[in-house]
Amino acid sequence: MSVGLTHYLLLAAVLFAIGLYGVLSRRNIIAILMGVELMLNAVNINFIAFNRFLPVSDLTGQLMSVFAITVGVAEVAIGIALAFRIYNDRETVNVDELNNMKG
Amino acid sequence: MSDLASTIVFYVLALIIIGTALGVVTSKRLVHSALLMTACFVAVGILYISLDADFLGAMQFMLYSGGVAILIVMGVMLTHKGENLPSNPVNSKSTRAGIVAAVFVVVMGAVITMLPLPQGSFVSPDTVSGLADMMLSTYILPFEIAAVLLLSALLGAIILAKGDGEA
Amino acid sequence: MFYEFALEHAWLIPLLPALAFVVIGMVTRSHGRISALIAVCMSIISFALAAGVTYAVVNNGITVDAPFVQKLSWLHIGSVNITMGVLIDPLTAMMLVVVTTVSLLVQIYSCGYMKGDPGYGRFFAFLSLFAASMLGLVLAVNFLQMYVFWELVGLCSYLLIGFYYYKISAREAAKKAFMTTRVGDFGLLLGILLLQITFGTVDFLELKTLIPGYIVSAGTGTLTVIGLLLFVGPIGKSGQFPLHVWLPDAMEGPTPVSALIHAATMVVAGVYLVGRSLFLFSQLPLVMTVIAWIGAFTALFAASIAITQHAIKRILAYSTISQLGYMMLALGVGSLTASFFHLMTHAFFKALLFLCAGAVMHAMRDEADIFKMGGLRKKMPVTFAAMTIGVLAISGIPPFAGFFSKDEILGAAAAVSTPLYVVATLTAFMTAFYMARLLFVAFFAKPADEESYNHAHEVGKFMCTPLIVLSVLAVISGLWGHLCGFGEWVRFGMPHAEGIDLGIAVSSTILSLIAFGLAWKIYVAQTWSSDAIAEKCGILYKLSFNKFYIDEIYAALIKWFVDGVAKVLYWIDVNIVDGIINALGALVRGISKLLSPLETGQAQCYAGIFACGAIALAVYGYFYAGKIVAMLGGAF
Repeated sequence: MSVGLTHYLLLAAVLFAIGLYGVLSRRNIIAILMGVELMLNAVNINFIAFNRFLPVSDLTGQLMSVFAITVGVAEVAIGIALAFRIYNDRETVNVDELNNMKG
Repeated sequence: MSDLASTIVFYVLALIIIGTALGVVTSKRLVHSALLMTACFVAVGILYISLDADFLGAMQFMLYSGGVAILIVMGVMLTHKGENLPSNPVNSKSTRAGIVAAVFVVVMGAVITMLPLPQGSFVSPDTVSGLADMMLSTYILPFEIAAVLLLSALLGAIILAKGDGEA
Repeated sequence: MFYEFALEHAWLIPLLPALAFVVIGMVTRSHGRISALIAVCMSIISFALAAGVTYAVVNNGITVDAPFVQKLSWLHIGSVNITMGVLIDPLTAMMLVVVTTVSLLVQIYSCGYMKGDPGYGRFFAFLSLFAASMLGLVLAVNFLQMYVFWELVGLCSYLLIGFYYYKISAREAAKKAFMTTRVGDFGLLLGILLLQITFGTVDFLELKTLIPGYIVSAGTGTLTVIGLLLFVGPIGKSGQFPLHVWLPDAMEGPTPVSALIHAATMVVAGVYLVGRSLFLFSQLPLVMTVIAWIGAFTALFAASIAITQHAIKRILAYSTISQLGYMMLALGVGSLTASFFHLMTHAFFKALLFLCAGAVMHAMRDEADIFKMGGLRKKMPVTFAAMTIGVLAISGIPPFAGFFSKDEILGAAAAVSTPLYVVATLTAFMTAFYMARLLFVAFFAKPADEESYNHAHEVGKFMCTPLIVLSVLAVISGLWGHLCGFGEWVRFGMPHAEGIDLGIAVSSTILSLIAFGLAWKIYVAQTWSSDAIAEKCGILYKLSFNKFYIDEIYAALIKWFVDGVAKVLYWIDVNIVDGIINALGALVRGISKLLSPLETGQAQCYAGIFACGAIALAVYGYFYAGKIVAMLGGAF
């Protein structure tokens, strides 16, 4: 059976789910950022797979993932800076202790 | 590439990606996670190339496997407290998080297999000039916005990292 | 010619007193004399115009069948066009003359009576507005205009009865008058609205032409309802049973106001309304019967109360109610002529009686109890003469005014129904008795209080002049009306043949004289003791003295009803209105309690919930995959 769109999408879904699990279950803020990066990659896989296997005629999908990568990188930069800042302020990177939003 | 070869490549890559990704989210030590993540990004980059997106693959190597991985490792180093504690503990909600993720996989799998997606094949002869053309014509506005975003992210990251007193 | 001018500018008649009200109210209020001058001058001009109008009516051949009408459009609301204007026929002309005469005389009288009162200017302002309202009411071309002035009259009565606003009893009386008449006004308003709905117009003349056709096509069902509702207004305004309770209390106002209210401005508004819309009522036998019997009952009922009262103004107030009952009775038996003839003569002699009462009270330092007066005929000869004329007039002794008008009513009643005639005659007898009692006790009997007696003095010229003028009118207006063919002009339907039914006239006169003799025996000669009689009558005397406990019944009823409704409403407020609000609050609080555990403050929880939402969307996508594909199909 040849590899098609569905396979890539399933792979992306699994990767996304793993990233989601990471985001939800980790305590360390940097680990959470890693989960987010995994999810972003899953999305990019989707974009590129769509561009490859759907009946299209240009590179819009790839272009979208270019933008997504741009945003993702910017996000990592900000995220790391935030983590650094939180660490400086509170001596911790444990998000369980960051519950200022508690209602 | 022949069908068989591409199938093998896909499954190998898929295994690597899923395996390393699982490693990222389960590893007890943050540095291991970071390394596994870099490996995962490399595998994803290869997957891009196998999807005839060579430029994206190159970007993936440079930005993620290079830039992001280094940023993360630096973050790990900067926020590291000591060797005694496990640097990457799970929280109390990990079971629930696992259930959510599993449900997500099931639902998405069902949706993906259900959907009768239109079939087609598009391979650009030259992705770099293709992307460049689009970026500077139809998508000039998002391109510019992305530039501004990167600039502000740069500045924001610097200011955040430096802190109030030094800013 | 002046009368042509007066006819063309009849709208000036109510406008001038209204102007006086505005000027006095806004400018000269603090200057009593100037205010009085303005009010009286305006009244004089009004009176002159009214006289001119009357002359024009006679001269130009204006009759009830061919009235003079001026209209101008007032309001356009959708398809409803409401006009204001002037409707002049002999009915109007008569009313104009009566109202302007009485209000002018009352104003002149007030110049003396109210002297030294701090509210002198205010009093004249209100008097002017009162006269203006009544004149406007009389000139109305349609029910709505009439209703507007009707309410204005009610307002003025409120202001004037409560003139001594620092007295609690005056405030209470004013409120009572206002609210009691409001009950009637509400019925009237409903009636007018029903008329508008049924006919699309409230114009008197248009209705007059529409109604016969309507009755042929739709019967009298709706019209009877309208008629009864309309009649509720006059019941309130003209103090008919059971809404008469405000009228005796209205004497809390200054006496000139009582005179004005009882004689010309307020209470006759109801009679005028019924008379003006007799074209409607006369088509409805049921309503006519109701009017006649309410009138007859009120007449008898009020007279029976008047017999035992002690306060001079209260006796007169009940006599007014009784006489108004007479007028209603006359209208109920279809005799507009008799009713309005009596209205006119009554206006004169009742104003006279009230002004005399005012003079007496003025002289006796505001003593109102007749049994504390006595022997005043020597001290106050002019007042005594005027009072005597008034009493003779109201008792129907020839040739005084009341004789002619009362016989007219008795004749009309006798022609329709014997029971009504009997009731009316009995009332006439009682009227003569209590008026004689009033006169004898206050003017003949021995002075009860030497000090007040010595203080008593004849009134000044301001107060005397109106008494004399009104006395003359009370003497001649009946005969004059009788001779000049009042029935030719003020009539409904066919001209009424003038003539005195000898049997009725003689019998009623004899009855009145018997009543006089009886009163003389009891109160002057004291052959029979009034106390002993009261003792003998027992419960009847008690009932009458306490006005049949109507006020108490109302108080109890209102207390029971209002408290009951209030209780129900309070319950609704506490349990339903507040309940809804509290339930809403509790609901929100409950939901927030339910949801607040979700607010852990931990971003991961939020992210988890967010993920669940995304999954739910995906599930949605799973079930609606077909639709999504159809949508995507358009894209590719």
